[in-house]
Amino acid sequence: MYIMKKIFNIMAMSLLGASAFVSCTPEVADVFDNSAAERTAEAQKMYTELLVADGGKWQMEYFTNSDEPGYVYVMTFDKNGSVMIAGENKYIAKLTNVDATAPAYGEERSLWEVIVDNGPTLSFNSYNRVFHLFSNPEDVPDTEASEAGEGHLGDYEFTLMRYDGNKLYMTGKKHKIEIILTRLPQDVDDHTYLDEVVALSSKFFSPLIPNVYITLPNGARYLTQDGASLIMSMAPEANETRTKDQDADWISFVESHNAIITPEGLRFMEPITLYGTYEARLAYEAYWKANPEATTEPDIDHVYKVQNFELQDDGSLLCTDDGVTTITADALNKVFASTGIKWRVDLINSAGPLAEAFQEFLSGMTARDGSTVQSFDFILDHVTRDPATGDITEAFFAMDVVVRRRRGGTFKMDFYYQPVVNSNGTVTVNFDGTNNANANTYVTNVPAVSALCELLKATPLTPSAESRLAPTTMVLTAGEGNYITVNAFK
Amino acid sequence: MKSFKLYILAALMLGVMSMSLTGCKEDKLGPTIFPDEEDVLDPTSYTYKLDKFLKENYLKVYNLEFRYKMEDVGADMNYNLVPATYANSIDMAVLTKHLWFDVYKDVVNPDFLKQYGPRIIHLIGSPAYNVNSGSMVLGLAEGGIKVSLFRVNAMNINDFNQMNEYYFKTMHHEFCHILHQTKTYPSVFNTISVGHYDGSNWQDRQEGVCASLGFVTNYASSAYREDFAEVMANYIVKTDAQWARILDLASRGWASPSSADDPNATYYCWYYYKDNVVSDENKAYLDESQIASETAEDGTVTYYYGRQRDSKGERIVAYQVPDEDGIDGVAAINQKVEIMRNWLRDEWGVDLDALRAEVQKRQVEYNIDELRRWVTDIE
Repeated sequence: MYIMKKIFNIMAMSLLGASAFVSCTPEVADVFDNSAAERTAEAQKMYTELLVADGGKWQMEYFTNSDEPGYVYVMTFDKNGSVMIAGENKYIAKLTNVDATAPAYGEERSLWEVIVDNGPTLSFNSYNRVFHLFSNPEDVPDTEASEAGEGHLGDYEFTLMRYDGNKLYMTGKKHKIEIILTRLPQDVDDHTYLDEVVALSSKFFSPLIPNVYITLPNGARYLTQDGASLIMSMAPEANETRTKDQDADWISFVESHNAIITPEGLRFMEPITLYGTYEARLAYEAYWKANPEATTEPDIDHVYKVQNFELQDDGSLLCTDDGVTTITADALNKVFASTGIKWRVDLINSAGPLAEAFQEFLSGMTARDGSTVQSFDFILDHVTRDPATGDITEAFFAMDVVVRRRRGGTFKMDFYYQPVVNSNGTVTVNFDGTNNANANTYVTNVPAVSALCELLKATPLTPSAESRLAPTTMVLTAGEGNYITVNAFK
Repeated sequence: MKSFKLYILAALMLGVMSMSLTGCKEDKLGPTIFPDEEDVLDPTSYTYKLDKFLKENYLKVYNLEFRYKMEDVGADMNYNLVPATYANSIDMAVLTKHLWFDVYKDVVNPDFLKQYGPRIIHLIGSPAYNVNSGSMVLGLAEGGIKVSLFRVNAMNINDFNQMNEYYFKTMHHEFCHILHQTKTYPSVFNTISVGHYDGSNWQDRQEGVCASLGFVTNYASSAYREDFAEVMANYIVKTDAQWARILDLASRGWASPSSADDPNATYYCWYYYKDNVVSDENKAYLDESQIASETAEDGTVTYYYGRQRDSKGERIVAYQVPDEDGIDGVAAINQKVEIMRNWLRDEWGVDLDALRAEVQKRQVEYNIDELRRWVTDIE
């Protein structure tokens, strides 16, 4: 009987199970009106029309890999299936002169198509000399390593992700880097546009100003170098944000991030994580160690993600992701007093009593012995170093005056000084010329020389510059209408 | 009664289960889920002329898709590859027709390649580099269906040897693969050079050494099937002088001052004795480019080390390295060609020598500007 019951139970359950496969209403309403293939084809058509619309001209922000800066291209898509691609970079220059280092303009027509792959994909499917050079698996000409078989590792097929009105966001199919197309007016001249983009790079960063700073919302700063190369190395400025160990190696915190410059500003290839405090770094790293598969970022105070920066009127860069983080050079009085930059006085663009004092220095020298002052330079003259560590222990600055003698030949006068960086943003240059024989001779014998020394000693100078990021030209103001201009030089 | 209940239940279950396999409504096949696309070329397209040429000369005639627009999904994604230039695609399209398809049409019969030709030819601009071995792939034949031609962007239409080596030879090589993938070749071929193949280090072998082992190229020494394809391709495209050179190298003896285990050893087929003093210590090797010769009145040829002289002012005599590898390279190559000749004749009705003669004629006579007009003159 027990067995019988068991058989009945099994059968009843089987019956129930079998009936579960039966549906009285087999038709389920379609979620989509069209088939997947038709929808993909529609997307293909939509993106094709989008690309050729309004003249079909786009700016591409193109990244190859994390070791190279981004490159700007201008592309004009034609509905006949061809595209004119224009670029201006050093690798285009190397196509005709392998030793070239300066960017050169190049353009070429090739083919394009929106194909159906894993979703609609923009494919540049015939070789374009100025564009596919970054996908070509040949050795990169200006590196020591051999990249044969790999090249720059750039993509030429891009999965189309989204369009937001004037920007088309894509992902490189093979290397998964985000590439952005921005629509340009059809009357843009490709060559002129790219010339301006290249010129922007020097407006943003100058090799003459090696150090710039990323200032985070909590006030912590990252020291950033090599901005002009757009492979920006950066590390927290203060030990406090790096480690509790004051002796920790700064180098171990240095990381590099590549970026691109467009008329809109600067964009890192991908969002970068910066830490406002050392604790924030520890907490962030601990989170990812504990949750390596997590797909969302942790909410930790003083951890910042930044990627996009917009050029401001004062020449600084403002992060558009948080609206707070900036990239600037240091305070201008510190820039003037920094050890790594030389400044040359530009008297043509100077005015007022300060400028007159320099002019009188000039004329006083000539009146004395017919000599002619060639230049006034504010420079780092020499340093002393800790013999054990090699670190600079003391820096000696000088106003270096190069003088041409009446009968030919030149000599130098060094007016040694220690710049005083004041908390109110001014800088004071205090020298008397007594520590240099040449300078001392003229201080003693030419009243205008000693007068300039006295004037500078008594006059705090307020620096200003058109660009807060690359202040290669500064105006040192002593009062209204009273200023000298100095230019950074190598 | 119990067993009756069981039968009823069982019947009921069967009924329900059978219902589960049926629908309440008759299904009808709907329209295709794929959008209707007309296979009509757009005359305003930038590529219309080439597309029309390919359609008329490959697709309609051979049911062959000539892909010049790069599809990386159609290539090995492990390689970093780039598309072919449009201009070189045109050149390759007309040359492929002239030096491959038209040859078989004229020499064999018009239907031969319709039946046995590939269904896809895929042009790729760059070579496929094997970074580890330092070699590069120039062509691929996949399953008798598809032939991929690489390095199209490096074409130099004015360099006959380069065109021959990288493209024309590759076409015949890959087609040979398609043929033997369809009808296998005599297994006796594999026995001729058995024990001398090296699939890993073939690229480090010198051509002359390979020839003396019975291989027409060093790539031929990588595997049986590559050997087979290389015999056909090289025999067809090499000029008489080039083929004679292969046989000449095959007849030589080769030796190296380096250890036999050294993969980078350089082999020579000439040697001399320093100061003309014959002894093992004085023996040194010479590259052929350094050899000079003098023919006596009786026809005897003496070889010398260029203009070098010994301490007595005498010219230094050069000697050929004796062929001591135990392999008659010339005989091996000729035997392979003979197998190829017979196999093509018996299995395919193809006259290898007629094929070779036609290719030889065409590859030196073609005028690329005239061939390009096949495309550019299309209205």
